Amino acid sequence: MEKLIELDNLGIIFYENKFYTISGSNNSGKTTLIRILKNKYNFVQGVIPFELRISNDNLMDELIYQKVDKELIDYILKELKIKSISKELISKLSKREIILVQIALALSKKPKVLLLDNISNYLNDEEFKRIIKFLRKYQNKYNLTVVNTTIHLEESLLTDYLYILYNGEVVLEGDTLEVLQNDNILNKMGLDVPFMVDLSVKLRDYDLISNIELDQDRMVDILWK
Amino acid sequence: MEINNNKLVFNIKDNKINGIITDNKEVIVNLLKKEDRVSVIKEDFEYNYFDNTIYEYMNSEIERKNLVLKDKYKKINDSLKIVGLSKIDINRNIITLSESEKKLVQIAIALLSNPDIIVFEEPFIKLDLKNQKRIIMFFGRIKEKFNKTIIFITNDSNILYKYADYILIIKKDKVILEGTKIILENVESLNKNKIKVPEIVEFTYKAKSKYNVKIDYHNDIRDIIKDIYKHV
Repeated sequence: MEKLIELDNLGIIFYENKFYTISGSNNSGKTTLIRILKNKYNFVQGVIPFELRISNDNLMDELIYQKVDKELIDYILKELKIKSISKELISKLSKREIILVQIALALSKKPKVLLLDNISNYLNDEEFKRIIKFLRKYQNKYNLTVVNTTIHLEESLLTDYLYILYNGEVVLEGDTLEVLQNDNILNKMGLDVPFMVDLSVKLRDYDLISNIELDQDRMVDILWK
Repeated sequence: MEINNNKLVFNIKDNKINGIITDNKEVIVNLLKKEDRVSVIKEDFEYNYFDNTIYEYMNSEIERKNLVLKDKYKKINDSLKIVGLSKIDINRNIITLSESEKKLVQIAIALLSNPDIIVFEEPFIKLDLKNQKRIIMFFGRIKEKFNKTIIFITNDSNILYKYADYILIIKKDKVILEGTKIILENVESLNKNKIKVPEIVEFTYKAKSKYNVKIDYHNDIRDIIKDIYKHV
């Protein structure tokens, strides 16, 4: 696997074609990190909500202006379900629509790494999951590393690897489920452990189960069947 | 207190933390705004183009709302102190504020007019656990001490199950369910109306309905663990 980014001072490495979450409490340094990465590497595109620099007033004109090939435009617009708004004035779009437009613009530049900074604040749960699912599909097709920052650890369950920042430093890292089992440390840092992980870890402490179980139905079966 | 616009009527409990789950936040917020002595804390921090510092920003809000304050400078400082920002430099540029500081400044602004009702849109969406707890303690305190009525407008049933005293579910201009947090234990009705069931409730409901386990609904995960331990 190719290393795309290595930040020695932080101990962060991003490999190709992987899905990362960076989480941490308020003021832990997530957005600062995203800004640094976005400015430092030309193969990185970042979606920071509502920070949008474009030369046209609608998405379609901008994509044509940037000479994005038609097939890619069609694919991205269809998958993000924003074909119908692609010719509308960006200034007239809703917040969630602007986020989707920003993702489309970022992908159209064919980055190796896509950064998403707290975008779930502006999308509902289902829509956020749909976008992540699409990016997984896109990843297989075009080879892309995605880095999602969030305060909500629940989102990390959709990704492969998790970094936890605290005061601008990485304090925990590893495969998502491994990291999430540090419930006490995460709580102390002001983070809420996803309910099913929290329940699993605590039931395991009582020797009632042996593994982490994320599915509620299966958990109920394990305990009472 | 009754809120009524001919089409929609609902009751807010005074001096409580009310939670509203709705499919049309805008209508509800606008309706509440018509009441006397109400302050709304919006989901997003809205920058004013000409204001650079916290002081300038709060000052513009005072002018925008036509508030008449005796000692403006003192009032701004007091308000920041109440929300726990006593050490903040009011000459700091607002773009340097973190998400949690922005929320606290918004609350400080809402308090300037000494409102009876505080409407808070998506109160916790950008806040970590520590800041959530800080804010909920703060609202608990002002509710008791100064008889304020708090209204959280959010679709996050997990949050309301944890923190709200009284909950209303309003869909298509109609109150579907209302009551204490017990209404969020009415899983069938929530499912029917496509309202997200709090996760802790959903798990308990599954255990009860599938295996007839005699565990109770709890707010805290540690309590549910104790209950499970007794019943496996």
